Amino acid sequence: MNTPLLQAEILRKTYGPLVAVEGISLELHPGDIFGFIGPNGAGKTTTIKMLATLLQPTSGTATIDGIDLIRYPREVRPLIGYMPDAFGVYDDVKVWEYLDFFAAAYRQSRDERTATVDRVLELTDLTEKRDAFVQGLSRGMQQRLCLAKCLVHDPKVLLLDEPASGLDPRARIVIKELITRLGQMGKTIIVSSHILPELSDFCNRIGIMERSHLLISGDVETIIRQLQPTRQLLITPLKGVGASGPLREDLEAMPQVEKATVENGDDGTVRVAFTGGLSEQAALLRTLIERGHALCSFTESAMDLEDVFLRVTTGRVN
Amino acid sequence: MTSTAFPIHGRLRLAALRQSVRSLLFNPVVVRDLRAQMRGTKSYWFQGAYLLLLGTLAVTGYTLSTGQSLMPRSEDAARSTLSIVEAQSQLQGFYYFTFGTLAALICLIAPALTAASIVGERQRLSLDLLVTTPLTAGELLTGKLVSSVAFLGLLLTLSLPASALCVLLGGATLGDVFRTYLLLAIGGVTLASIGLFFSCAARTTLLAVIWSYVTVGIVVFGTFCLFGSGVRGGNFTDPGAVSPFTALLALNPFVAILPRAAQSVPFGAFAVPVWVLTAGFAALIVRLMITASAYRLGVYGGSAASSLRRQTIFLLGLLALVASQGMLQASPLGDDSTYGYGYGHGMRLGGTLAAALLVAFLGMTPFLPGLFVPAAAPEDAPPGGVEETGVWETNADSRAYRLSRVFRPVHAGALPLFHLCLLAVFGGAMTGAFIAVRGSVVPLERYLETVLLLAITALYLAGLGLLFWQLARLAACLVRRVSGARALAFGLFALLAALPIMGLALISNNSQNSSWEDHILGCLWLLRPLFKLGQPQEIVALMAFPTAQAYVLGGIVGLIRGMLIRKADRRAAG
Ligand SMILES: Nc1ncnc2c1ncn2[C@@H]1O[C@H](COP(=O)(O)OP(=O)(O)O)[C@@H](O)[C@H]1O
Ligand SMILES: [Mg+2]
Repeated sequence: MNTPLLQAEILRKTYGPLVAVEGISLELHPGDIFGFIGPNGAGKTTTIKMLATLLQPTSGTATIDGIDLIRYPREVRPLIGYMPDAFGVYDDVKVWEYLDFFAAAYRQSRDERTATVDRVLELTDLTEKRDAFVQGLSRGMQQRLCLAKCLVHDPKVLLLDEPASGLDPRARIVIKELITRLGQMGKTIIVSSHILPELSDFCNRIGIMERSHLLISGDVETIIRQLQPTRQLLITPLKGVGASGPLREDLEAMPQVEKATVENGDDGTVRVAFTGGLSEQAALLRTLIERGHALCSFTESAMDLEDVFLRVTTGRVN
Repeated sequence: MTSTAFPIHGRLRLAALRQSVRSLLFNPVVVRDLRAQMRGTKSYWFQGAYLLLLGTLAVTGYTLSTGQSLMPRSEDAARSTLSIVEAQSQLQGFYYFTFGTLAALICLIAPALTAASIVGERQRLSLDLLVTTPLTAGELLTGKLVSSVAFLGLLLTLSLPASALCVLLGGATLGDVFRTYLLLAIGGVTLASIGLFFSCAARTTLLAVIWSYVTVGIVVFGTFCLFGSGVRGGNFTDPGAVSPFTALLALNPFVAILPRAAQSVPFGAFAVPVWVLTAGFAALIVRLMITASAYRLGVYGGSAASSLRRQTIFLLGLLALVASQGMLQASPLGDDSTYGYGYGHGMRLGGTLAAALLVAFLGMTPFLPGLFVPAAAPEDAPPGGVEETGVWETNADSRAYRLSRVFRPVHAGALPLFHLCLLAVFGGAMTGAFIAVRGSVVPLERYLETVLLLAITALYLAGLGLLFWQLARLAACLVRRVSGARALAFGLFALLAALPIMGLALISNNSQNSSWEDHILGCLWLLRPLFKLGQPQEIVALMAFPTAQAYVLGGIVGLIRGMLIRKADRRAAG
């Protein structure tokens, strides 16, 4: 990857004595979907608003596509699509008129606008709602409409602040699919959420924020490897708890096993902290079978984002 | 495309002009707002109710002013043998009733139309969506103004039947009605721009509406009084002589309907219709209000501040020029005693202008803390956030008074701005007075006397400004919250200005011979010259002491502030 599309260096925002965002640094490339996770009041919205040229940072710099967004906010605005965490719609305006208005605000001609409106309606699956009134749409559809509004000018960067909050599970899935599709189209996307599972499926990079600090950020695998240098294997003997004692003793004696513990529960699963790679793992399984252990399951417990989140955050809210 | 200058402070380059035209004609905000406005059923109900109201008023007005019903019954017809003169005046009464009602409706409706526009977007949480588009603040605000004004135009059109009655019955000519409508529309746009400003400044729609009404009320009442005091004999419907000042006052809908607004102003060989000048003034004022709104909107990346400052200085100078010329023209000069009715009542030439200056200053004092109390980051005050005073950050570079910073919203430019405004007003007033006396038989020494009086007044006000500024800086050291510091600054100034009254009142109780302001110690009172404007001969002598006092006091306050800061610095270092 060459130069990053979005770059932030020690962005900081204070409101009087209150520090809303403390020195955030970020680097995102085209196609990156960055999940921005943190409890309420962590400073996600403030960060996104700074990147959306709505708030002037107290200090720090940020560029989008090489343009300094603090010095040239007006030049940066056509490059970004911003979806706020809470937004209102106008009464008595139809869906296509709403989108037509934003397209006009981006200086598109009448013909361009017609094409644009059709394109974004298609993309967000709102085509049949073209002539509906905006205030009559469901919350999920309004959310999609706002996303459609972000897309009228085909921006390079999308800043989505809690796009799935307050939606029912089905609408949430629709939004998630949409964001995934936009990522595949090569857009750089920042998505924030205070709920982790919302983001875990489709983000390739995450940042965890708490109390105005970005605690950790990077691509998902790197973070997991950082937090968990050893792999966790779960081995379940066929005969249940009775067989787990000898299994554990055998395992402890193996070379690359750091620790083996019997999990709570009646199936007698043994959790193994294993430092070896995949081939050593295969060797381990062969050895166990050769020694006559009857196993019904041998899996690696993948640490997911949820665990990362719990490991990293302290649970305090400012 | 997006890098083109902000249309409202671009110079008159072709690109800027094109963009201005586009922001007026092809403004997406207008299209969207009009769509929404014209659609809802609310709008039909409103228009229906409005028509009904106008109709009722027209019939009532006709009945009241002519004593006749519109459809005369037989016994009415018997006694309807009026003289022509009587009938004429009755029809005129009907004309004033109809158009007075229309003027009142415009004053009530125009500010309310715009007052909700921006604060409504803010409360609906849709403003951010607009700000992140390449729409400039100027385009957004112009769009809001145009769409509101389009609605005003609709209301005016709906009122045509009522005013057509005036023409049919003979109370006015078609030309009169047309011109009056034009002036009413121009006045309506100007009032609407006041509503737009408060829509950007206020936190809730209700507050925006209240502030707009209060301001519009004061402006309409004040300009009508100004107009009235220039009318000799209290005969408002008398088509007397007009000046550009009349055209300025014709922005007031109640002045717009009077015959004077139908006159032309002579400029040498030419005569310019009043409405043309009025439209010019309206354009300048609306432009200033849009810039002020853009500044208050605080969209970052905009550069409204310097344009706002330039326009303010220019408009203040122009208003001073036009007002002084008009006021002096309306009052006969060269007479030492009384001037009968008119602006010059009991005063001499310069006394009037000095009085106007001082009163204008007093009217401005509530707003001065906003200019003088330094905030840490003026452009970037979040709505609802706590602003802090930024005075403790005393880096060596930020000298307190810098003429070169006068167009920037930084602390070093605050007092220079005040002084430049004062200078503009002084220059404008002097030029206006010169134009006014040039044609008349005023001796030169009278004019020079006026210049001297005004110059001393300006010097005195500059001193008061300096004192206020020092007090504001002191307050900013004592209180960290900007709003608190502003209140404290105003309080300190009011205290300094008002406190001596009590002491003086005590003294004068003992010496029964004269009232307290005439006491020798009375010159200790800062605001004393205000109350001595009736006697312009004395005023020069009387002003000298308070002026010196203002500068000395300002210096002392500055020293105290310096001591406080050094102490705090030492405490921070140690
Ligand atoms: N305009 C403001 N004035 C003062 N404090 C603010 C303002 N906006 C946000 N904050 C504070 O900044 C912190 C971060 O807020 P925010 O960015 O909205 O968090 P998040 O989006 O992660 O929930 C919060 O403590 C909030 O109270
Ligand atoms: Mg938030």
